[in-house]
Amino acid sequence: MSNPIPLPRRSAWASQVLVIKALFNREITTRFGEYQLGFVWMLVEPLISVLVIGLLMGSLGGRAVPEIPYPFFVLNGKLLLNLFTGALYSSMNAMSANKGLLIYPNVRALDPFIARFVYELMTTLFSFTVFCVIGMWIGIDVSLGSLDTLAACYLISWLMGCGLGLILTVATAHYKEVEKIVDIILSPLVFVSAVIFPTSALPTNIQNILLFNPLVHVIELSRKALFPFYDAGDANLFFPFSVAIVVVALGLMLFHSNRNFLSQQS
Amino acid sequence: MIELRNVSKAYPVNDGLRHVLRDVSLIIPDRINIAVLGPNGAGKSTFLRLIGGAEDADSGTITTDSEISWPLGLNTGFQGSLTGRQNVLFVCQINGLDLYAIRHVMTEVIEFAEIGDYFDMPVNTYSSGMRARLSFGLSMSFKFDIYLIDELTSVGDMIFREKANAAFEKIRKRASLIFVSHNLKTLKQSCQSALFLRDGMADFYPDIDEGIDAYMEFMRAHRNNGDANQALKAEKKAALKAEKKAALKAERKAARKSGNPPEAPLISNR
Repeated sequence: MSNPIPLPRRSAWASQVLVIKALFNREITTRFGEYQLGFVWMLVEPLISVLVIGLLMGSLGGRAVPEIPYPFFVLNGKLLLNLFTGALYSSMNAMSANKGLLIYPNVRALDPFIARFVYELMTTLFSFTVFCVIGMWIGIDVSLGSLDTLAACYLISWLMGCGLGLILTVATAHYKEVEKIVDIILSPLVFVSAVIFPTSALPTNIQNILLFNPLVHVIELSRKALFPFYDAGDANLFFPFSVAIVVVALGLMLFHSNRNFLSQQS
Repeated sequence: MIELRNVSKAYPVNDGLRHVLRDVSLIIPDRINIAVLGPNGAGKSTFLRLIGGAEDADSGTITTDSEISWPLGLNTGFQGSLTGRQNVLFVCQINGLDLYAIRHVMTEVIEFAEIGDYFDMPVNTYSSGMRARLSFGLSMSFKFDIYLIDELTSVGDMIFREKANAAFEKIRKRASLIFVSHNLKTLKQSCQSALFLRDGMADFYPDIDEGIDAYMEFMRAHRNNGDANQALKAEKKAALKAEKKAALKAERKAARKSGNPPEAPLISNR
C-alpha cells in the first residue's frame, strides 16, 4: 500500500447524487450485462406483447379504434402500464438486491429505490422515443402538439408505480404474503387498464367502473395527446394526479418510519 | 475520538425487543486499537455498523471527529453479481473520486488482493478468503483514521494474514482499528484496549488483558450456569439457519444460471 487516498468531503446532497448515479450504473450493468444486445430486448419485449395481443384480438381491436393504428394503440398503453408495474416490481426487491451495499455510510436506504425508479423511467422514455420515431418514419400520423399532457401521463403513471412500490415494500417486509397477493392482483391489469380496448367501446356502466382505475385515465389521455381525434371519454388528469401524490407521500412516509426495520430484513 | 451519548439500539424479535445497546455512553479514544469482545449475538457487528454510520441508533447520538471506514465484513460491501472490478469502481464512484484516483485505487487493490483473473469475475464466485482480500485491499487504499474490521482476517490464508498484519503495522502511525474477532490471539497481538459487549451493556477496558479476563469469566459463568444447554440450542439453531440460508442462496444461484430471474425466496430468512 503506497499512499492511501483521502475521501473527498461533500455536501449531503452532492454525495446523494453520486450514490444514485453509481447505483444507476450498477443497475444498467446487471440488467443489460447478462444479455447480448441488452437494450434491444428492452424494445423487443413490449413489441412481442403487442404482437400477441394483436394476434389474439385479430381485426376486432382495429375496428374499435379507427383513429389510431391498432399496434400503436396497444404499444403506447402497454408502455404506460409497464412503467407502472416496472417501478412497482423493481422496488419490491431493491432492498435485498443491494443489501451488501448499504454498509457504505453514504448509501441511504432509499437510494437503491430511487436508482431503480429513474432506471425504469429512462428506459421507458427511451423505448417510447424509439417507437415514435419508427412510427413517424413508417407514416403514422403522430401528433406532438400536446407533449405536456403526454409527459404528465407518463410521469403520473411512473409516480403511482413508485409510491405503490414503496408501500408494498414496507407491507411485504411485515407480511410476506403481500408478495403473492400483488402478483394475483396485478396480472389482470392489462385487461382493466384500457390497454387492449378503448373505454369508449364499452357500455357506460362498465366504463364508470373502469374509471376508478387511475391508469385508465392516463392511458386514454396519452392517446388523445398523440392522436387529437381520439375519443378519451371522461378521462381526466386530476384524478390520477391526486392518486399519485397521495400514494407517493404515503409511500415515503411509511418507508421513512420503517427504514431501520427494512434494512434488518431481507 | 468517538463519543456515544445515551445510545440505544434494539431489534424486533419474536417476543418483543432485543437490546443490543441500552442507554450506552462511552468515549472511544483515538490512536488505540480496540478489540470488541462479546458472545455470539451480543451485537458486535451492529455496534460497528452504528459507528460506521451505516445504521442509525434508535436514540442517542454518536459523534466523531475522525474519518471512519465502513465495517469490513465477509458478507457485506459487495454486490454479488458484479465483478470485483465493478464493485471497486462502485465504491470509488459513490465517493466521487476522479479518474486518476480511481486508477490509483484499482492498482492498489489489484496489487494487494492478488486474486488474479477473479478480479474480473462476479464476486459471487469468490471464496471467502478472496472476498476478504478484496474488501481489505479496497478499504486500505482509502485514508481513514479508524478502520472497522469484522471477523475479516480469520478466513484468510497465511499470505493474506501476513499482508494484513503488515498493513496494520503500517497504518499504526496514522490510524487505529476497531476489531471484532473471536480469535483472542489475533486480538491480543494487534489491540491494546478492549470493549466488552453483553446484554445491552458496553464496558471499555483500557488494558486488553483485563477485557479478555472479564470476557472469559463471563463466558465461564454462563457455561456453568446451566446456560450451556441454552447456548448449545442457540448454536444449533444458528447452524440450521445458516444451512437454510446457504440452500436458498444455492437455489437462487441455480435459478440465475438457468436464465430465470431469481424468484422470491421460498423460505423466509427472517
